[in-house]
Amino acid sequence: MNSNELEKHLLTRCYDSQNRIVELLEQRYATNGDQKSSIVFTKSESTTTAKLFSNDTPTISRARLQTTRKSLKAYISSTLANQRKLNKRIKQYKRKSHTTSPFPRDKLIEEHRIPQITQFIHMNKLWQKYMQDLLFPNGQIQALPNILPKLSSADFNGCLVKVVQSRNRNCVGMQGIVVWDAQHSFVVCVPGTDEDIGGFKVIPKQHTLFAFDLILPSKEEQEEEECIPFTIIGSRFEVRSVDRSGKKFKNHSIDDIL
Amino acid sequence: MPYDLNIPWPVDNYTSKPTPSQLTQLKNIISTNYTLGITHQVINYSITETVKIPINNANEINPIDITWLRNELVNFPKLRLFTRLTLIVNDSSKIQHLTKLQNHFDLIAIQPLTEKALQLTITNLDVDLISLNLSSRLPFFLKHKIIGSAIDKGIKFEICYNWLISGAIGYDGTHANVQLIKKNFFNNVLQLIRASRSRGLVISSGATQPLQLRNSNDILTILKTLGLDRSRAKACMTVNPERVLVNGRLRIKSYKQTISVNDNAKLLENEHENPNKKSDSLVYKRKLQDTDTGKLLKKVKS
Repeated sequence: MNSNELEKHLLTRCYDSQNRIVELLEQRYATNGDQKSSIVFTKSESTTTAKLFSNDTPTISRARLQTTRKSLKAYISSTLANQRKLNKRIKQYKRKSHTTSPFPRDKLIEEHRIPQITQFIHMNKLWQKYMQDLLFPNGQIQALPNILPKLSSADFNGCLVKVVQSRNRNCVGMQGIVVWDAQHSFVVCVPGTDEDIGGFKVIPKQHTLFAFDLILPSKEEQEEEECIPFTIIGSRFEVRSVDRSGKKFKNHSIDDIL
Repeated sequence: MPYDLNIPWPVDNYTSKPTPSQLTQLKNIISTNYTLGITHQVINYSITETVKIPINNANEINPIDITWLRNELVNFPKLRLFTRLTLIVNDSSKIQHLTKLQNHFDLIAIQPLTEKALQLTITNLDVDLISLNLSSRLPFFLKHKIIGSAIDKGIKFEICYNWLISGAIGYDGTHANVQLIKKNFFNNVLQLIRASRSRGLVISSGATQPLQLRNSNDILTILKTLGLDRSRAKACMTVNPERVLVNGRLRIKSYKQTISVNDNAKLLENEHENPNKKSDSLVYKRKLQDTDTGKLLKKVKS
């Protein structure tokens, strides 16, 4: 029957009607009557069957082409472009006039969908909770040799960082919440100032030191929250957060740290 | 901000304690150095390999009483004091406790006496500084290959200038000939500069008396005489010692140079550190409101 299957398939390319194919095959394998040792393939009349020989692959839908990675990249770059546009407009506006109505800043921010740091505060809260669970499972504060290795393999999406030292002087002093921890850079959401609209900033990790504060688990009797400050040495941190957990870090010559 | 990585601690073993006059001398050296503009000073405790280190007694490993010194020198607000251990070794393979010592001293230096010791130090040990005894004739030839590999690893080489000026004043008389020491010093330093190709050198005082100290201009002149150009000579006093200090400090403060504890946002700072127990994390504790994070969070929420 299996060999018949193949022949049947071949015959579908020649004849359109199913009955005709069955009839031909029955004739071929009949115990009596005319047993044909050969099959006659004819050129088919219809055009649809010719599709087998053309080499175009099935088209993938647009939705399937869009991966998370690509759309994140597109989102970040479009946001950055919008910010640049808005910053330019603010500059132009300031140069022109001071008497007329104030710059419609909030409206434009909404229109261009510039991310604001207030949207990411919750992410930072979640991160602080995650850190407290990771480092102080019993609510007890441990010594540095126990904390530091855990920190270096932790995830930093949502951490509030500040650039304390960098070879790029323009980066120094930037403060914001890490939105995406890429391999070679941190995408940080910073608050806006008078000149700058705020939003995303891409800060390269190389030759940069990032400071962050770890809030300690609070007890009932004290009102004020306490924290321990730490520094990320960017040049040694150029690993994606997925790979970092299994990575074995090593000491190197420190000439490239700053 | 020049650095001085070598101010000798008056005692070189664990059994005896420094006398009060020796301590005043040390204070005088530090204050003179500070008036010369050197803010980061490292007190060097140097022992030979035969001295037995009390490994099991964590409080006694570091004999330098840094808290006492800081309290005595409280008038100098910018002064930063660090501690350093120098091991004088014939055979590097005999050093086993180095990893245990690393948490008690800011810097670890090795003074190799033989070529084999030098080679083993560079290949096997995790040290910050190599200090060769430049006053006597080196028993081996410094090869560029060995010295270069050390510099690639981030290990720097120390030149102590006190051998050059200890002759006229306060010469202690244990050495045979002042002229010979100076001759050896020049020979050895020239050899070191040749082998290192003028990279990775650190100049420090090693002064046992306040009058042996010199200011940065004089040191630059010395280095220029030795054949270093001005920028490299300056690097010997500023960039290179800073890197040595950062390297040593990161060993204590950080996990494999990835994340370190933040002390005034500087990598080599040790202001808040507990000198007796360097791994203590509670000393860094601060109120959230005073930090930049707290301020930003408050601003955003309001």
